[in-house]
Amino acid sequence: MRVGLGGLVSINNESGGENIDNRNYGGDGSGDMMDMALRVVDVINQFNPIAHLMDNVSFAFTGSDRLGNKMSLGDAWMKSASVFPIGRVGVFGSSAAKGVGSLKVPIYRVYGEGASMYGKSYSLINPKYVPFYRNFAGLPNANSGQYLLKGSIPLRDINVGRWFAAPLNGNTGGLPFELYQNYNQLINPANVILKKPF
Amino acid sequence: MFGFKKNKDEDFNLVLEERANFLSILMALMQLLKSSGNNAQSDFIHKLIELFNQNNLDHFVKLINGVDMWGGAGAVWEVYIEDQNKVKEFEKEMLRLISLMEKTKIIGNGIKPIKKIFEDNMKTG
Repeated sequence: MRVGLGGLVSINNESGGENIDNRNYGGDGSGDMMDMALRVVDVINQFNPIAHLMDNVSFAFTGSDRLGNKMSLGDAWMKSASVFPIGRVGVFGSSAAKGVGSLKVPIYRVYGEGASMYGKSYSLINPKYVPFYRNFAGLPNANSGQYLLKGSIPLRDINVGRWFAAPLNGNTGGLPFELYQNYNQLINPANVILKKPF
Repeated sequence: MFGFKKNKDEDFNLVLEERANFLSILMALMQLLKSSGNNAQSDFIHKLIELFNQNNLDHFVKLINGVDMWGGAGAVWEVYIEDQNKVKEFEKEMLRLISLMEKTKIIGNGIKPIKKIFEDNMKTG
């Protein structure tokens, strides 16, 4: 047994040097310059997230860290926590969620005569791609279907009123994603007069 | 023929017992819709009141569960009302109507999600 730099203890053995807590540190335990440097690097690496990441990769395949020291699952979790600190995961997660939430999606409202432009019922589905739209969306008789209002809305503001238009007396229903929104939530609302009303 | 279908008169007894409540709610809704410029919807509610008064309950139940009441754009439930006090009043009356329809067992499919919307609106004020 030899005492090296900084009071670290190494034991000479065939496989290489070990420090005071019997960890392999990658050196040969000889105490020369290279061995000392590896000891110092190993001490520093105890706080290095990149080294922890490499240890975890090694653990996944061999059950040991990159220097051959046995690791428990608890050790692996601790090292993962240093690689992806919980606070940072939260910040990353929330910024990703913010990004997705601000994605703008188009929404549509068919209206006319008794159905005003400002009502609350909207659809995520573009009516021009739906044959028999009136029937599937459950447009009431008061709605002449002459106009199409199109706008967009951030994904986070979407409020699904009914997952599918209800099969009420007088229509088949079934059009997915009936939304309940306010007109003032719409970004760049635009009206189109339809040549062929719904 | 095999007795699977209930006697309609028997079914509508509950509705008839609540005649006063139905009419008071429908009258309130009609006035709110009229005063907020939603004339087509107000006329529809007027038609419901007439059917009730004529004891044409079969037709009344069909229409009160139909697209004109609970459908998409232009239905009664989703009208735009500018005055926020009237909005609250309207949503309160709509909730009363849904509860009454539940109580009298005439409520159809697809109306409960709307009840939840109104309840949430009432909670958030």
